[in-house]
Amino acid sequence: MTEPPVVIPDRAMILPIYLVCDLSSSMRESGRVDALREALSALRDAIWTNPVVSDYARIAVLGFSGSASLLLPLCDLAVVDDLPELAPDGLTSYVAAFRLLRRTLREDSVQLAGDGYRVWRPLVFFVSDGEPTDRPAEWRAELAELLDVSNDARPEIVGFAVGEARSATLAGIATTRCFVARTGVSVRAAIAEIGDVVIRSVVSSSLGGAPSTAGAPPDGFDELDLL
Amino acid sequence: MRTGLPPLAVDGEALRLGQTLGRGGQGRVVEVLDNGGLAGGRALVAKWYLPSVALDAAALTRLVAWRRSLDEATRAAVDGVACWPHAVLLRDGRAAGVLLPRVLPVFWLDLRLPSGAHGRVLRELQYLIARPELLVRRGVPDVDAGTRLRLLVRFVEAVALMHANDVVLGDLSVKNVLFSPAGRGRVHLLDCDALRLTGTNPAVGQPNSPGWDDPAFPGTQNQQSDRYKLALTVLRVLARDFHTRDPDDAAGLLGREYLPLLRAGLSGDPDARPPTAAWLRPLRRRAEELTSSQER
Repeated sequence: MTEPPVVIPDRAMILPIYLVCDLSSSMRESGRVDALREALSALRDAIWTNPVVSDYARIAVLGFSGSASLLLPLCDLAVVDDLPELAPDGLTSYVAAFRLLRRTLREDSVQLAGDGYRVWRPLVFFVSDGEPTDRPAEWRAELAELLDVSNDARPEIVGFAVGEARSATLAGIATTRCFVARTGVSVRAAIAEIGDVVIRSVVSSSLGGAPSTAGAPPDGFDELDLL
Repeated sequence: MRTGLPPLAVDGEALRLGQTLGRGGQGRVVEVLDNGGLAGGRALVAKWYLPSVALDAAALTRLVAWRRSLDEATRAAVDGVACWPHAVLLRDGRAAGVLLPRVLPVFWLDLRLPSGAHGRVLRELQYLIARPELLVRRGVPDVDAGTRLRLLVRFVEAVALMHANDVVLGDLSVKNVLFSPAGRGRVHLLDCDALRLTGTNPAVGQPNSPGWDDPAFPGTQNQQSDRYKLALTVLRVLARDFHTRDPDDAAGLLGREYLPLLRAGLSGDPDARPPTAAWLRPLRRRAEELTSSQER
């Protein structure tokens, strides 16, 4: 005979957050990837000084170029001693990014539910510095599957276009907000600003107990209307 | 300026400003190096709002004037527990910020950050609610049960003082209440530029943290919703849980005897909620009980 399930009336809520970063070879230029590394370290410091975030948010990092990899599985970032290596290389495959993201979201949501948590819809911060090198029909099909209403773990996506990424492309990917770096703003500075937006969103979501990406666009960015 | 009351509005140009101390969603806080004898020598900071913040200059002036209208003893009491605006700051003749008292050193915490940097952070309510394992990891000393109760007494005293003087706290979050466990314990209310006086509008939009919302007043905030949030604070500080709304979670530290008070405070019926001052005697008694049992 199996044990009756434990009933937890008000199970803790968890907000899973995914940072999906373009690591194509163009990220090697003029300190772009260094800025990404610094932003990740600043995010870890910010969570360290805000225990409420450790209690509420879990963060994962995915990188993509020609392929995609899970650089940091979902965790309390504050306790991660070694931040992942970010090594730019090759193409810009959105297909690989969306496919890995979909699989990771599904596995994480099963795991968190199994651990007894109630889980918010995942929040994705998607940063790209270039146009996808896949055929448009292919990456759009992969995105459609990721966002399909039948996918219980479908995410909300905040998009950031820097460098050579086109605003129209990112606007088609973002579901909540989309920010585009203005021409003339260095990609390095833009990535640092994105880091600040992520920190503000993560802290305010944890304080409020609900996903929140409110607030003014970062310095040097314009916000696009999402249709 | 011997009285410690600066003019209602001060031109930012007249101040010698130092480094930026912090940035937030609403603006940035800058050190005031020389305040020209304002505030009776108390260290001040300038908070400049972002242009995107809708600022009601009249409401801001009302907050500053309210403090000036208090008798000396009450004003000292308010300054002792709240970061209340001392003057409106002008830029090009328009209200663009506020002068606030600088937070005292007892409300700061020194942390070593994972990046290796040294961090000086405010001792926010979140450090009182966080479970022991979250604190240990960060090298933050825990607060014992007796002190915990004493800090809640100080918090309720602060809210009672505000309520007695027609102030609505509105938004309450784990970042806008500071505490210091030393001695008899102290609390400090931040973001007072977002508070309002009963019957008037706030100077800047009052955010309403969803995790702290009062189900009886979605979208509005008043002294009755303050009472609900006060009960929620008592519950969460005692239960050490950022999200609970279940009064039973506080039974261990609060004691069964006072659970009905907590239940009433969290009642969906605003009229059933006890007035702020009703919390004082029970919390004081419980603080004494727990302190003496710790000493035994």
